[in-house]
Amino acid sequence: MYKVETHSVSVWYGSYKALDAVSLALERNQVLALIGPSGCGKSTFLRLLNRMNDFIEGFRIEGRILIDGEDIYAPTVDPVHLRRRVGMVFQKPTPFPFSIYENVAYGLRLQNRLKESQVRERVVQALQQAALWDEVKDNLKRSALSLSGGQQQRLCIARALAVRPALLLMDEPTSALDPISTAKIEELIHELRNSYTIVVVTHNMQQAARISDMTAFFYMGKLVEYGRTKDFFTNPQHPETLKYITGRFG
Amino acid sequence: MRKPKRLGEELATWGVTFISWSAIGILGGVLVFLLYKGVGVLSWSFLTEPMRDGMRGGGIAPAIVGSLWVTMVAILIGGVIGTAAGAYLSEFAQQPRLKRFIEFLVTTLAGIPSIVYGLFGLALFVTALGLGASILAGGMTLALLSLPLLIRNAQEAFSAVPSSLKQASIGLGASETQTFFRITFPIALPRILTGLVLATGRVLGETAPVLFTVAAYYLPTYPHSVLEPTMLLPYHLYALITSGVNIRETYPMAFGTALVLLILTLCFTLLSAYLRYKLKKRYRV
Amino acid sequence: MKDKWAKRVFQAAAGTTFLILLGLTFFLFREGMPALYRSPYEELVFAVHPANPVQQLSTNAVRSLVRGEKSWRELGGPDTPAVAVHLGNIERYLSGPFLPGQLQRKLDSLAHLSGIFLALPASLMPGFAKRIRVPWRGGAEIFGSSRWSPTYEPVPAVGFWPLLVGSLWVGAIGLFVVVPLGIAMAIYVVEFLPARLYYPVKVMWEVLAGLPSVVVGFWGLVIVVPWVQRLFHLSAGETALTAGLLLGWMTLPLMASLVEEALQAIPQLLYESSYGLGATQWQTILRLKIPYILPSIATATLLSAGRILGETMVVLMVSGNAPILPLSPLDPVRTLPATLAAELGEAPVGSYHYHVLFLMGVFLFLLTLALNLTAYFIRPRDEKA
Repeated sequence: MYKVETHSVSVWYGSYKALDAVSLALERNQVLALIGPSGCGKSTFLRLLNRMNDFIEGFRIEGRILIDGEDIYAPTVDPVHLRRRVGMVFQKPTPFPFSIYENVAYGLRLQNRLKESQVRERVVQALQQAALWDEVKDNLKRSALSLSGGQQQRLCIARALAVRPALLLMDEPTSALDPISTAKIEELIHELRNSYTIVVVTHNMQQAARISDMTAFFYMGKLVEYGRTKDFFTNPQHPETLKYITGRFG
Repeated sequence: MRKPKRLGEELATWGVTFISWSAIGILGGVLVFLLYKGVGVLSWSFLTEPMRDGMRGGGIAPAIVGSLWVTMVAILIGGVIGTAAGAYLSEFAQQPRLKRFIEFLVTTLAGIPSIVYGLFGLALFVTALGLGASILAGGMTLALLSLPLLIRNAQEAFSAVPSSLKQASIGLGASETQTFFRITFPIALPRILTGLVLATGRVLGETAPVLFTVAAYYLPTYPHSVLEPTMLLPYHLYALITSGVNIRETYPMAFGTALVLLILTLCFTLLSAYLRYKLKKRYRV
Repeated sequence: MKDKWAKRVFQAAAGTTFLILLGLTFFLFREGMPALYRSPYEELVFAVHPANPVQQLSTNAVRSLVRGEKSWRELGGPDTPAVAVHLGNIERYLSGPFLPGQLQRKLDSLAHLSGIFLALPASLMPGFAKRIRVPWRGGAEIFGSSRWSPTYEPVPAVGFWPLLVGSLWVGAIGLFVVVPLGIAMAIYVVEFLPARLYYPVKVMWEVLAGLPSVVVGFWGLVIVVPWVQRLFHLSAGETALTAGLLLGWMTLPLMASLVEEALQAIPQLLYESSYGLGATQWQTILRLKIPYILPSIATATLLSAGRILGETMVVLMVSGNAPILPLSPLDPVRTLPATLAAELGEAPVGSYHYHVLFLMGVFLFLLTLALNLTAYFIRPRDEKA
């Protein structure tokens, strides 16, 4: 069974068609990179996977999206429960104005089922997974806002990991970071692949080539090309893909 | 992944909805109540004739006229100073520290209770400047009171004029003040007037600052100059309720007066809201 | 050249704000300070029978002597009943109409009573009587006494306490109403209100904010006062509770719009992060948004407190106006601004009563100033002043 499957998914905002019949399938423990020029629909597609688009007025979807074989837009599905299983990291670090510890524990406390000792255990684990533990372990009570940008982004990843999501979404996670912090995040994505399935939106093709197993190229709301990253960059099938890749690589 | 009923959340949503509409509902209740009780009193003679028989009969014309006089004086003085000060803060202040200081002063003045402005008006205009209780003294007191609102409004109005227009004018060789008078001011004028309308509504209803600076308890004549005291609608209402010779007999008059005062202030408040709505549509801010 | 002139004019207009604050402070203090160093009975002299060993009486002693609550013995005087004569009760000792000469003769004869206490203008004071001192300590009287009775003869009581406590009761009740309800209204408008109703609701808020306070007071008097009276089985419905409820309701638009502004200013990515972690709408509101805007809520609360403490007309009309120390929210109270509004018109310019009212104005001014300055300095930095 695929981890994520979409069957000719189209999306409208009011009368504007943002996605046109997108179908793809992604296997477990793989990293999928979504690339394309801005406005091509890659972020819309990403936000479909945890139903973040539900908040937008005039949003309408056709087609089916399955995660672990379950249709996430079925009327019986509670988007809140879905989001607990699908973690998300945004293009800018979004630490809450609480302590480091409380940031990571935020998602755990929403469900009110864990004892404080269990919360602590999961927080530590998440921080370790996000490769932030060594930098913050001495002072978890410190405000999250006092961390550097790269640390804040890793904190947001830890926050998403703490709830043990089935799927991790990242929307241009390094776009606001310096090269060193970016390298750390990329390395982290590499590590996380062992235990998570990850979908990353990126505007940086080198990054897509470095971190992903699969790449999807979006253009004007359509999925133009989808395939193994290796083949994708060495042997693109569509002229638009080639144009985009070469244009960027100069 | 079954959709659960979140009872607590739904209750909370109901709670804030109920609270919000109750607060507005009470307002509606006040309006309807005063309309119901007051509309029978309203008549042409009530609006155009002076009081008679120690406030038990006749109309409230002197109070209406007095209120309009005092409000006009206040808005004239406050409007000129407020607009100029707003222009300074938005267009001409060069030292940021001075600008911040004046903005701080405006904030401070806005927080001073209206009764304290009344004391100040009594000490300065009525006593020290020797104006006595007069339309001028009361009007100036109310001008001071409304100044923070007017300054802020004018500052926002001038700042909202796109700087590209100002720069285009400067680029054509206009001086800063030429640019201000020919470009910035005409474009900002509708917003400034909207602010003046709002301030007019507020000033009309003020009671505390005019108690000692202008309001006469019973003076059923029309003022001939701004140096005379006059009756005012809000104070007349207060007098009718609290110190009428026979409260039972003056109550209908009080309902009528309250309704007139309410309608007047409501007109100005709604007019300013309507103007702002129009402006918003035009500029799509 | 012209440019420079025009700019000067604009600058001067902005400078008036400074002049107003300066002038306001100056005139308030100039008229208020005399209450601290002058005495309310400068034109009076106090005297007793020459055989009375008392040299000096405190203001409290005089008051209790006049009210007949204390005898001369308790105050270190002779063992005779006290007879206090002052301008306020002098008629009691004169039967029928009298001429100035008769008045003086009567006073002279009264002075021979061994228990006599006289408080009279120097011109009327019999020469036979022994003058004593009654020192007036303005600061202690104003800030230490719990009685407000500024026209009491011969020694007024001008303690601010009952009025301050009245203001605090009304303010506390008002805040108790306005803070939770204002936050709830802001949450409703930001989170749940359909977009097409947004503008109408905001206009309603503005109408409420612009309602003349005297109209609110009138409505309160006619509707809320009887309602409170029936609900709590009181002899009168004019209480601190009545005033606090009305003031809280009136202040809702201020509180709600400040909180609303803060809620609207929360970055979208931040609350999306919360939704992304599987938080429901209310979890996001209560666990992220409210903690995030706490500084703004504090600012809004202080500004609302300032507004409530300064409101005059509503309190004057519905709070019962009793200048006594209130013990419960169902007691009638009188607040600082209401006292100013009620009494300043009656106090002759330049009298002690006039000065002490201005000092109360100074006090009120400083109180609200402190609230507003605190609000100004704790406000979140990214917000515009």
